[in-house]
This record gives sequence, C-alpha cells and structure tokens, in this order.
Amino acid sequence: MRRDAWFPLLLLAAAVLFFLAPPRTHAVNRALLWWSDFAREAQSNMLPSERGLNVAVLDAEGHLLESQAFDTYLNPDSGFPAFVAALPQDVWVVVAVQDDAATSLAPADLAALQSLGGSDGLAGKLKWSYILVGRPGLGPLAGREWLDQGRLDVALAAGEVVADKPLPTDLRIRSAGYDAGIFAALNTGKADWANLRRWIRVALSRS
Amino acid sequence: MRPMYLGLSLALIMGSGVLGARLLGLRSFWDRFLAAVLIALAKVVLLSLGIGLFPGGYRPLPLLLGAAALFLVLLMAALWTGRIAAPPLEPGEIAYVRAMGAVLGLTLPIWLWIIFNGLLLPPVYWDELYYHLVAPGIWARDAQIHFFGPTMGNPFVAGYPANLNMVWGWTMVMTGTDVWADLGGLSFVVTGLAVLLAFSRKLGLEARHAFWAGLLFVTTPMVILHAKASYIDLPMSVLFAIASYFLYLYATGGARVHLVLGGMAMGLMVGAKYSGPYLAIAGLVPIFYYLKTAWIKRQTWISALFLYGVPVVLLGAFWYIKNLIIYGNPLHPMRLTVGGVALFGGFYDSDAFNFTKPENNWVTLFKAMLDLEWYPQMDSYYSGLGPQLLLLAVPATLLFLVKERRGRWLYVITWLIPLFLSVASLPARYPRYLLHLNLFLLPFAAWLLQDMGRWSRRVVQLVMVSFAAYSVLIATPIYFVHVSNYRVAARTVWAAHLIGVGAQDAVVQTLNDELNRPVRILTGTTRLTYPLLGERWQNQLLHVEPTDEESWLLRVKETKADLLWVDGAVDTSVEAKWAEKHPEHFEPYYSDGIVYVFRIRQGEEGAP
Repeated sequence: MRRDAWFPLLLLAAAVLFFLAPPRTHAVNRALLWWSDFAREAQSNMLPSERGLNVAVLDAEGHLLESQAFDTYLNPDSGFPAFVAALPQDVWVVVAVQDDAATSLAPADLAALQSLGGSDGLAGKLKWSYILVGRPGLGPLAGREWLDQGRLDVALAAGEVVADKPLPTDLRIRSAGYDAGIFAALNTGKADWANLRRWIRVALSRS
Repeated sequence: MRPMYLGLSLALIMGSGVLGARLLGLRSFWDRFLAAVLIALAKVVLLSLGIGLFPGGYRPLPLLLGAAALFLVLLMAALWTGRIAAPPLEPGEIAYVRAMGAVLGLTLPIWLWIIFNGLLLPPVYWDELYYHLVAPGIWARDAQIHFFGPTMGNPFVAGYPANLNMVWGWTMVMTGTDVWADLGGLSFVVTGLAVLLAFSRKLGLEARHAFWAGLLFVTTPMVILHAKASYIDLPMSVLFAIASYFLYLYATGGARVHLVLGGMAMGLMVGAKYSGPYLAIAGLVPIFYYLKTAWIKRQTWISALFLYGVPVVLLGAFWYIKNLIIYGNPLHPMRLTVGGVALFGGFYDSDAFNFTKPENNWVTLFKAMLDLEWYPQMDSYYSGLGPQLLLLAVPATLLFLVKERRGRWLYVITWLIPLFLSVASLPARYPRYLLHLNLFLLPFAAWLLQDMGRWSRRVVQLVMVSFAAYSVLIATPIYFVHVSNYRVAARTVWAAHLIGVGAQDAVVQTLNDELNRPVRILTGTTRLTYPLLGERWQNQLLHVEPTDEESWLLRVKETKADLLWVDGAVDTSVEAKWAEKHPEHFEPYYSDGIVYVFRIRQGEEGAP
C-alpha cells in the first residue's frame, strides 16, 4: 500500500458510514420525494378538475386527445353517454370523479361506464372517489376500476396490461370525492409541462 | 424603468469598486476583485446613510446621483494618477480565473434554479420576515431612513445594526420590490468562491486543485439555501473571510493597504451584526503577530491600529451610537454582561463569547458540523454544512498542520486562531453562524489533493463528487414554512409575502382590498412583521407600549389604527388580554391560535 493511501481509504469508509446513517438516508429520501412531487406538480393536470365525471381520452401512444367533465351530480342528462358513443375504438379512456358524480347518475351513464370496462358500482355512492381506466367497447368489468370513500391515488406503469393491451404510458390518477378533498387529476409519462411554463411566466413577470 | 435604476446603480457602484481597487495599487487580480467588492459595499452603506437620512433622500434618483458623483470622483482620480488601466494578470492567475469559471459553470444549473425560485417565490424564511427586510421596506416606502424608537413593536427592527439590511434595501428602493433582495445572496456565493481561491493561491496550490475546494464550498447545502434568502449569515461569513485574507496578507507583507481593507471588511460586519465587534477583535491577532515579529517600533503600532480602527469605526459605529442616543444601550435590544455585571440591559443575551457558557454549546457545534443538529431544519439536517466539512476539510487541516512544518504557525496564527475565536464567540446553536468554517478550511482539502499520488487523488476526488452531489440533492428542494408544493407556491405569489402563514397574509390583503387604502396596524409582540407591510410596503405599523390598561386604551385611540395584531393569546399577551376585555372597542377578526387580530372599532361609539 502506498504511503498516502491510508487517508483516501479512511475517507472512503467515513463517507460510506456518513451516507448510511439514518439522518442522511432520511434527508435523501425526503429530497427525492420532494423532487418527484415537484415533477408532478410542474406538469399540467390533464383532467378539467370539475365536479362529476372527469374524462381524458388518450391516443394509442398515450398522448392526450381530449378531456371533458360531465356534471352527473346535478345533471341526469350530462351528455356522457353520447360522448362515449362517439369515441373511436383505439383510444384509452381515463375517468376520475371529483366531488360527487353519483347523485344524478343516470342508467345511461352507468351503461356508458360499463361499455368502457367499468361496473355499475358507482351507483348510489354519493360523494365517493372513483377511477376507471378502459377503452371503448370493452364491456363490463374488463377495464381497471377503483372505488372508495377516501381519496384514491393510482399509479400504473407503461406496459402494464389493461384488458389484454399494454398501457402506452405511465398514468398517475387521483380522485377525491366531497369528503376526501374534492379533486381529480391525471398526469402521464407523456408530460405536458404547462404548469412549469406558467411558473416561468410568473417568474419573468416578477423580474 | 425601475430595474434600469438597479442596473445603472449597480454598474456605478461596481465601477467605483473597480476604480477604487486600481487606485489602491493592488497588483493581484484577486486582491483587486475582493477590494472592489468591499469598496462597493462601503459605498452602498455610506450613500444610503449620507443621502437616505434626509427626507426624500432614500429614493432612486438621489441615490443614483450620489453613486454617479462618487464614481466620477474616483474616475478623475484614476485618470489623474494614471491608474485607469487594469494591471496585467500575475503569473498563474489566469488558471485561477478559469477555475472560478469552471466552478460557476459546472454549478450553473443550481444558480438558475435559485434564480427561478427567487423570481417565483416571495421571501419565505424567518429572519428576513422578522427583521432583515422590514426596515428597508419601511424606508423605501417613506423615502427616508429613519429610526423607530418606541413606535416599533419589533425590537430587532428598531435596534439591530443594519449595514447589510441596507444592501438588501438598495435593491428594494431601486426596484420597488423585494425580488432582488431575496437573490442578493448569490453575489456573496461568488465573492466567497473568490476569497477561497485567493487564499488557496496564497497557499501555493495549483488552480486545478483549488477548483475542488471551490466546488465543495459553493455546493455546501447552506450556501445553496442562503443564495435565495435575505439573511446576513452568508455575507457575514464571506466578509470575515475577506477581512482575514487581507489581514493575513498584512501579516506576511506589512502593506498598509491590506490593513485598511481588512478594517473595511470588519467595519461592514461590525455595523451588520452584534457579533461584529468580537470578530473585529479576532482580527487583531494577525496584526499583533506582524507587529511583534517584524520588531516594529511603538509609533508604527499606533499607526497600524489607527489604520485598522478608523474604517471599522467609520463603517460600523453608526448603529451603536444611534442606539446609545435613543435607548441608552448601544446593543439594543441585546443585553451586555461582563463578569456577571450587566453593563447594558436588554431583552436578549448578546451573541458573544459563549465559550464561557456550558460545554453543551460545543456538543451542539459538533452536531452542527455533522449536520445532526435537527433544529431548525433550514440550518442543518437538510441544509447544513455538508459532509465536506467534518469528513474532509477538518482532517485535511490537521494533516496540513502536521506535515507542513515550515510556516505552519503563520497559518495557525493568522488564519486558524481568528477562525477559532470567531466560532468561540458565536452561539453554536445556529449552524448558519458557522458557515465560514467551510470557507476557511476547504483550501486545505485542496492542499491534500496536491500532496497525493494519482490514484489516491482519484479516490478523494470521487468522494468529493459524491459530497457535492449529496449536498446539491438535499439543499435544492424548498423545505421551509410549508413550501413543499409548487402548486401552493405559485398560487400565492401574487398575493402573499409569506407562504407559511398565508392565512395571516390574507388578512392584511383582504383588509387592504376591502378598505381600498393602506391600513394602520397596531402591533403588540409581533415576530413576523414583514408581511404586515402588505403589497409595496403600503401599511403603517404602530406600537403603543402597554404600561397600564387605561392609558394604553387612550393612546390606542390616538393612533387611529384599523387593526390590533398580537402574537399570543390572553395568557401570553397583555394587549390581547385587554382587547378581549373590551369587545365594544375590539372585534375579534382573525386567529390561527398563534396570531390574534382584532378590528379596532372606529367612531364615537366604538373608539376606545
């Protein structure tokens, strides 16, 4: 061993001990959590985030084609069934409830949800959170569905199989009914950094 | 228009600094760089006081005219003496300039991120809201630097030395916003890097090794955090390093110009923080070392102390004299006790010579150096001094002292003893007070690299990269006062000066909007004063000393205040207790359990 090798070795050992110490791993984990949260917040929410059924339509590559909200809390004739009926077959549909979507949910709305791969479970679930990932024409229960009184936060990885087809992109979907926080959000791996652009505009205007 | 004022004034000020440094005949690029910074800061302080103390003087145009006049004087002097041209770089200096460029270039994404945060987010940290930004905001609003006396409920705003607050204030008065004050720390990151490289060069290090010391300094977690904060701890650390650097040059060469520059840096610090006088005393060590070793005659001792003391007094004494006249205590609101005898009464212990206090402070110091001091979070744990200090810089310094037998005492006396005195004289409770440890000791880590074989050096550099990466990772998120979420932050930038207590800020905003005019806020004990000033610092802050209930009520009436704002409920605040006793005069308006706000009923029936 060279005469001056002892210091680098000691330093290396001390650095390993330092980084393995619980306060350091805690700090690193917290920082990573913060940055992942920042990345999500910097993207735009692809859902309108309005009361009722919030629907996003993604193309076969995972890019957003359209998003719209249908207020099935207030309106039994919200237009949701007609919207679903007009969708092409090769798209992905994400549905997330904000606030409440069950109060005026019509049988035609339930049928439309089932045609996208959902169930009739949302019926009567006033103020519940709800998420559906499916495709037009799948039929009842063929898609992926979540229903809960509390907040829903679902992450699906690109390539994960839903109704025999791999998802084209990562999906992070959040739904909160009236008692769980009142929001609906969708972020995808095909990021649209609209919020970041907005923050940059704000920053420039403050200068 | 207003950013143009700031740009123009900074050009004049830095131009004056550059000319001043050339007039002083400094040969080294780094000495000129640091001298230019000192002269520029001194100019800001002297112009702010010299012009701003007059009614209407603390406005962009008078200050700009003053800056231009001083610049012209220096320009004519430079032309007259033939020192207008920049001296050529000394041998080896270009490599150091490149090393500085490499450090700043490599870390550019960090500084862009800091600038983005500074532009997007309002000031969010405690001390800037507590006192650093309060007085400059009020002065900019009133177009005059004035003193508050008993009309200011926050004693730190009323009494604390404000040299560096005036530096932040310069950007505020020029632009009408606090954005550039909050990014002022960035300039001290660059200056800190410059003084570190300057000292490394004097240590005889190659620039490629000094690069690593510089990289580890600018990636110190707390340096990154303080780059966007109107705190004075990073500037204080950098100024102390500049002072020590020039005094080290004096101790090794005896040039009086270095003594004066050391005194200037110390004077700026004395007038910025109550620990400044103790740091100025620590600066006497290298002076005495030179005077003693050079067998200087007595007359020269006196002139040396005079040359050091005059800039200290000129730049630092103002605030102490003001406090002595207004409060009878130069250190207001601190108390000064010597040998158990209270020389000056105050509310808080003075920040000084705590090595006489229990050993607990030293335990805290080591915990801070290892980033294990969990409270407060913004100082350590997530944004402390980094592993580069205790694992690398401290052992490297010890190795230097062991191996460099020739000349080591010079560094011990001129560099390390002042550093030790500065640490010992400060309360170790807040790791940010210790930031200059990295600045003073990291050059020895560069010395270590120079002294190593190729493979050992590679290993140490690898560890240095991991330290820098770790520090950047933990320091770049915004952790403090609930700024964990940019969605929240971006929503509040239009309305809030403070995200953490956004609801409190909303109270002020709402009342401003409702009344469509500035409001008069009577403060009790109020810690986070800055947000009360509102947008463009429009609101008036008042205070009535709560001597007894009846006279307090009468004097509250005279203030014609709209709100009474106190920190604390009836059990902790006498004003809140009296307000609750008189619901006919004080209507509860808002409370979050910490702050209690009452609307003061105006008019014949309601007024107290």
